[in-house]
Amino acid sequence: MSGETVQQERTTQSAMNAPIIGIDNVEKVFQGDAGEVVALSEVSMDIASGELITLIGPSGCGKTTLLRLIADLEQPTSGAIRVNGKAPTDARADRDYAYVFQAPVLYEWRTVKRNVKLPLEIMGVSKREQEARADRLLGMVGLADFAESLPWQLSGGMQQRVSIARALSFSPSILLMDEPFGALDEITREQMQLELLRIWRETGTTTVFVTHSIPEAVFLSTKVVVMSPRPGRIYETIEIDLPQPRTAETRESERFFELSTEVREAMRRIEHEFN
Amino acid sequence: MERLKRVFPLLVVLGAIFALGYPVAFLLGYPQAKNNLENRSRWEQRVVEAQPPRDLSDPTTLRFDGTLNPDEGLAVYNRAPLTVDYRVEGDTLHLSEATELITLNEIVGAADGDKRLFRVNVDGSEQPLYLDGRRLDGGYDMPPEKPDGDRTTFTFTGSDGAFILRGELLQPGEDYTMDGNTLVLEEPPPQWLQLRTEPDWARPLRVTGDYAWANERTLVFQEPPPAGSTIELAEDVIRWARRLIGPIDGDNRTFRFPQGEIVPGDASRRVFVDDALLATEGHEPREETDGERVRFTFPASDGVITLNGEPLTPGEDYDQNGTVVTLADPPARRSTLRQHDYQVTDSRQGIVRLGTAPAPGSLVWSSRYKIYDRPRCGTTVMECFLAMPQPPVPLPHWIATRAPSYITRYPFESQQNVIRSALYTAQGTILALLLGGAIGLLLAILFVFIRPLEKALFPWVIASQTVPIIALVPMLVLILANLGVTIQTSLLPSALIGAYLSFFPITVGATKGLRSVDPLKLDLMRSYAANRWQVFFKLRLYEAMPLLFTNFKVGAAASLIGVLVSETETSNAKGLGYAIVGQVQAGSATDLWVLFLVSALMGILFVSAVGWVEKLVAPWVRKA
Repeated sequence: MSGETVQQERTTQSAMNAPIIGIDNVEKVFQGDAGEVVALSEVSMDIASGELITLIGPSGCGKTTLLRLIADLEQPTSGAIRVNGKAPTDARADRDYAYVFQAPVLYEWRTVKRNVKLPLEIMGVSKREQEARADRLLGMVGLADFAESLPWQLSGGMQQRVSIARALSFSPSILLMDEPFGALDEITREQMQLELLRIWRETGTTTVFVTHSIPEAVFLSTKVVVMSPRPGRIYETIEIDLPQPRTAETRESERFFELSTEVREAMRRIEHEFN
Repeated sequence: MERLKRVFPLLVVLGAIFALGYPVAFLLGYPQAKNNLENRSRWEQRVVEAQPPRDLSDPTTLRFDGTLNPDEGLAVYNRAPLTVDYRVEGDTLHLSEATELITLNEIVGAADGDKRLFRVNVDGSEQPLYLDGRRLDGGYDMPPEKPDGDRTTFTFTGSDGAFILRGELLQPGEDYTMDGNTLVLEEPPPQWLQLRTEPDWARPLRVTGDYAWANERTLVFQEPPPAGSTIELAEDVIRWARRLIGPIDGDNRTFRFPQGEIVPGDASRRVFVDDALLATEGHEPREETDGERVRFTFPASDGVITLNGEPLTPGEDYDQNGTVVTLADPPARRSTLRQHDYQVTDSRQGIVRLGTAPAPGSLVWSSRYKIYDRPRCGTTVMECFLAMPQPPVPLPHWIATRAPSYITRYPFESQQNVIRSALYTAQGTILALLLGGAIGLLLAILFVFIRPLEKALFPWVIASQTVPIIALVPMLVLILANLGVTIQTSLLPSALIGAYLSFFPITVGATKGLRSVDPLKLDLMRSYAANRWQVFFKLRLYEAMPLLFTNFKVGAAASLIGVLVSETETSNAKGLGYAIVGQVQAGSATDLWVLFLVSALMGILFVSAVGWVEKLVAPWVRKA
């Protein structure tokens, strides 16, 4: 009991310094039909509270697997993961994080608002509170007018915004995002990136973001983690020191290009080394 | 316009089925139609009879109905060629001297100018009738209705003339009134029990000729014969008979009937050589065939010997000595050995072989024989096809025109009313589907929550569907009857059998549906740490809907089949299944097809109804 309280205090006090997610020498092996496949090997990383970390790398480098390990949707073969100082299973049970998939994964039979309410219903939040939070979040993602629409009536971008609103509805301390903008067109995608940054600034939610778009990674992150494939490992970690708040102009700054080039170089080296 | 576009494909399909119905119906009906056309036993038969004269008033000059040809015919009287000389001129027979021309039956009562009904001492209904020497034409009109003990109305083709019933003349205003062409009787005529042998006069008749027979011994005239007129009913009369064609030279024994194809087994055939009537049936020998005997004694010293209907050759198959015939081989026990005065050797050509060659100067003739006249159904296969009362597959427009009358034939209150039967069967089907659905859903939920239960029970669920339903119904009937259920009028057996058939697809569909959840949606639930009840009620139940409804549609069709089968087996007279079996037994193909279409329509309606429910309950399924 007392240990938990201490942990809580520590996290709130030293917001930026203490690791909110700790990954220690994690290995993940899948048992496939063609024998064992090592998806991740010797992965260690600390993510501090309030950070926006991007995992990038070629296909098959295990970035999604790493995210699913953090979310307790898979279990590591060896090594340890701590989320908010707890085992991932406990963190999941405590609803410490929200997971956003590449697809919106909306329930077709629910209206937009009821989709946003879904996690609140499951967590037993009062009806009035559900209503208030759903309205506030739909306002935040700019879909207040579509509260009573059904998912099929919305565009892909709008659907993904609903899924982000749903993820934020229960104010998780961590947001895990698996290529959430991957299926969107470039214009929508850039708008969504700005929106995400705004929400991140407003809520201060620690975010782990998987992508394979270099500009997206550089534009969003405080830190880009470049991963290499077969087996998935952390290849390089690049600090992104672009000033906050970032705007559309940030994409045109010289520093943005330098950092993008740096990430691109790393990716190119991976391609040479591993092919 | 939009609506038209939606209906159009359906119309095309219906039109195609309708159009396809004609060649199919014709192809399947063709063998029977061809048989009706070609099979002689299905032809109309006609009796060729020696013709009585039209007029007897002049005893030496007799007029007939057609031209007389002395080469093809001869005048006969009293079963023998006429003994007085005669000559023929057109339709007139001139006798050289007056002679007896008619033998009379006794008629009770004399004509007084008022009397129309006369009793006769014998059955004279086949004999010619003369009034003052002039032959009268008999004739009557018979209604299509049969007396059933209750019916009082009978329809005729006309309203004039005398009406008779069972030997009595009916009195207008007293016994009956006319309503157009419908005769309305005061008293219903009694039901005639032996319907197959019903004589015409069991029904009321309308006299259309000069007279008609009101029963075998009662004669009714259209107009009362004038007072003092002579009514003569001929027991026998001079007639013009047919000669058989063939040389009469003392050797020839083969003769041909002058007209068409004769009916081989015609017991009423009369063949004469001069005044001797040849027996149509063969004569039996005095001894029995016992498998050893070869010598047989017959009544005559000559004739055609046949063994089991096949003629034997004299000198080869047998030797004859007087009336004793010695066969070369003993005929088998109980075989039929006969001696014939004559034998039909070729019925198609109308050829007969006499036992004895007629002596020169004798006459070979026939006063009565039956011929195959023409096919009863028409002159072409197509005509015969269209005339078939019960084709195996009826023509589509027959069904289309018959269906409304079949539906309205019985009032809605009647158990025989099709709509009522269909509604009853629909009730059973709905019960069956609800029951089957409940069982299916329950099993599926158990299977999804408790996997070992599925492993244990699912093989039995499959096995349940391999039990033939035909065997299941009697078993169920026994059990329910023991529990005091009135099987013939209860919906329970139908509902249970229907449920038995429908729970299977619903179990399979629901189990598979509850399992086939999008893995990402499950991951989402997992990320919220949702418990299994939440996963079930907020996710699985909804994700199962498309498969569930698809299988509910299959279940609806299965329920209907189960209910129909159960109704036939339990003889539940309220249901459509019973009506179908009734039509099969009645052999009414058109009605059967109407019922078939009604059941098919019910099936379509039920499946559509499940679709409508799906639209209401799970509207997102079609949109997403």
